[in-house]
Amino acid sequence: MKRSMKEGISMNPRIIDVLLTTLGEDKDILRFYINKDAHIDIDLDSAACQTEIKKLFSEILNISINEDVEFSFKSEEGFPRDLYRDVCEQYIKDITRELNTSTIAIRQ
Amino acid sequence: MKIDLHCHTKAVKKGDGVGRNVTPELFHEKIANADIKIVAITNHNHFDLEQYNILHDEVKDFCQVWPGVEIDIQGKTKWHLIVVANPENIKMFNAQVAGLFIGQNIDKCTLSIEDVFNALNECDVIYIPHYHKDPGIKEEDRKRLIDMVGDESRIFLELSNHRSLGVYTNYGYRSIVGSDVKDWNVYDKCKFAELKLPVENFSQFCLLAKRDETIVETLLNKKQSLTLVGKPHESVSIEIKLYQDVNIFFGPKGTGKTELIKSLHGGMASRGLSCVGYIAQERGDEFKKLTSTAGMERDINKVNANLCEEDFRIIANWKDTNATPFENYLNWYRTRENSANKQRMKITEATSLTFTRTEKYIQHKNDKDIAEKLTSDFEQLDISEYLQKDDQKKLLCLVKQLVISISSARRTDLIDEYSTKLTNKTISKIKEHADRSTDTVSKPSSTGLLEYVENRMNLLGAVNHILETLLLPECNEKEYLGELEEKGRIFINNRYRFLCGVSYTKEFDSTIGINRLKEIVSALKTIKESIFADDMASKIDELNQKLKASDITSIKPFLGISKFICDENGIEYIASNGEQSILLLQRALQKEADAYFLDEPELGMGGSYIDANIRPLIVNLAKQRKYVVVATHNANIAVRTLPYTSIFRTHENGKYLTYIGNPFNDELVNIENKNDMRSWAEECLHTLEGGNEAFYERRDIYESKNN
Repeated sequence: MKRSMKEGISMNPRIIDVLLTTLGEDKDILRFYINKDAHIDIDLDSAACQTEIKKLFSEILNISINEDVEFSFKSEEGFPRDLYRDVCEQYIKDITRELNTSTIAIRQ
Repeated sequence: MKIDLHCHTKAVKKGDGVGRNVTPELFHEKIANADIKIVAITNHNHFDLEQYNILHDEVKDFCQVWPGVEIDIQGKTKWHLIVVANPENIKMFNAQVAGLFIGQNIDKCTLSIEDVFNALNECDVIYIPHYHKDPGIKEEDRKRLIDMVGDESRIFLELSNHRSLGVYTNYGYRSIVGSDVKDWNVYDKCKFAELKLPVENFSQFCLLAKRDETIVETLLNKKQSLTLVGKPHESVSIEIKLYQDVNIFFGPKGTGKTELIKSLHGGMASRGLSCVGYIAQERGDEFKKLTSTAGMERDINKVNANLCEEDFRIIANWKDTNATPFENYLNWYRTRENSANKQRMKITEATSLTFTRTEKYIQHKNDKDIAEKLTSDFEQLDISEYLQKDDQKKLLCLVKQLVISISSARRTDLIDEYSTKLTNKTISKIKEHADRSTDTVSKPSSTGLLEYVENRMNLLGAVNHILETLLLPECNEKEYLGELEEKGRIFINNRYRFLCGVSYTKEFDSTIGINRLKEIVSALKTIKESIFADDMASKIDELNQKLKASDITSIKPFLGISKFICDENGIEYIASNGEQSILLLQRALQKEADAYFLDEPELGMGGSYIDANIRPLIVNLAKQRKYVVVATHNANIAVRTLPYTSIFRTHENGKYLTYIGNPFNDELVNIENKNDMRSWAEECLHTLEGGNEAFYERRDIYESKNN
């Protein structure tokens, strides 16, 4: 594993898998696999999903202090709503961009 | 009390004029008119016992007559030496002087210092060489004389006139002038020296000389006095005259001496004189006050700290940010194709720009503040006072350049920051208008992550600043207290240090308490360690409740203050009761004041310490013409300081009595009945404790009175 000159920062990025899927009959969720045993679900149909989003922010920022983070997005096979797929792709791009900028500030 | 220790009564040598011869009647008249109280008969190379006895008897009711002789000495050069003897040894003196000049030509003979010393010293004498008066002693011979005699208090320099007497006396020389009378008809027109204190006899004169180098009064060394009202009891008032010297109160316990001291202290202070007091019975409380932090300010400037008020304000006002709802993204996507024009306006899909306050940003901001203060301080300085014109120009130019450069860097940062903010605002407004006009929803400018991070970083900055400030090194201010044998110099240490692992409860405000402060620091550390915690809002809330409950809005309450006694290395020292007394007394006596009031300074101290350390301090203050008023039971203090005035208090037959006197005339006179007199030495012997040396001195005074 490569180490950056800044102690404790791994140069191999942590890949966080992101899955667009459905829970139950018709609940659309965006699932972030923080690690093997834990994941955070964002309910895309809920107007009150901000609590989960903040939890997500908390987790990925804590990881990004020591590791670079990359998201790997995919939708579940047969996921019916193309709109959601497209939006989530865009959303992940935006989070990635903002995370990169935040990481610079955090590590300072 | 006028004194003349160089008086001729016979023309002896060829050079002596007939005017030096005096009849008993003329002697009586002139001595009385001149109000001389002590006269020494000092004829050239001759002593006439018969004449001495006649003249002695002539004036014995109002004047002491001492035997003496003026001798021509051959040392390095020729000079005159007057030797005056204790009248008790008159016969021995007469025989010794006769022996010195037997077979000698009185007009031409000279003697060596050794001859004179060997012949006359055992007669209990004082030596008075001419000094800066022809023929005068030179320095080499003066030193020889001092070495031979061994007691400088027995050697007086005779000067030529009163002006010289004043000058030499003021510089601490034991000096005197005598009449050296040449014509008795005008004797009473001469100027005579005045003794500072009246003495009853030769021994008391020598005692006075032993105490002070300067026994005569001059304009400068004249003892000032103040008459004050002393109150040994609230219903009793006594007028007491205090001198700029040592004034001793002594007597049995329970005679109101402490109350007298206190009332005199108050009386002196009310006259506008600065006073220092020491009451031994109160030393325990007084020592406690030395280490009390009452009146000590929690001053963060002592540790070069910032109040951190802005940081505590950030914490108090902190609110968590909300993420952009995912629904906003969905709505944007759903309405994207509702308007072709909107689709073309890619700016409506723009995301927020970010601006990060880097270390450089903060540095430029701080430097700008410093530069502004520097400019303001600089304007108050008149550099023309210190620098040449060219250097002034150079300095002003450089300072101007520096300020411009800092301002430029700051300006660049601010332009960067505000242009970012402005851009974001503009895009937001454009999106708003575009949405309204097309009934569509623009893409959210951000997921909320950046704002989340900025908000948390801001909080972290404030918390870090507070925690870093708490790590600033402590400040110790040492104030000299005194010195202890074998322990060295002792200090009062004022310590300022922030809350740490070894802090004591009493260092902090008891209304807040050390535990509350520790809880707050612990909470701050937890926040720092988990700055991205999901439950940050509740952590901050909990912290703010603690801060509000204790009314903490700055770092000031976390600064611990303490005072303790320490040695030279700053290590805390616990002084024993006796050591506390020593330190307090030293402190009192070292303060600059006009008057010092000491009640039983000997309490808690050993006799040898008192004699070696306290007595010299008291005597030294008296020499500096301070009022030193001491109530004591200790002989070393009451006797060996040879006080200018002694006040004896006693209680007999149901009555309190007050006597005033001094050791030089060995009298204590009842202030209410001038006929009621006691012996100073006797009362000292009966009343005072300790001190062998003092005991023998008391005995000497006692015996000198009775012989």
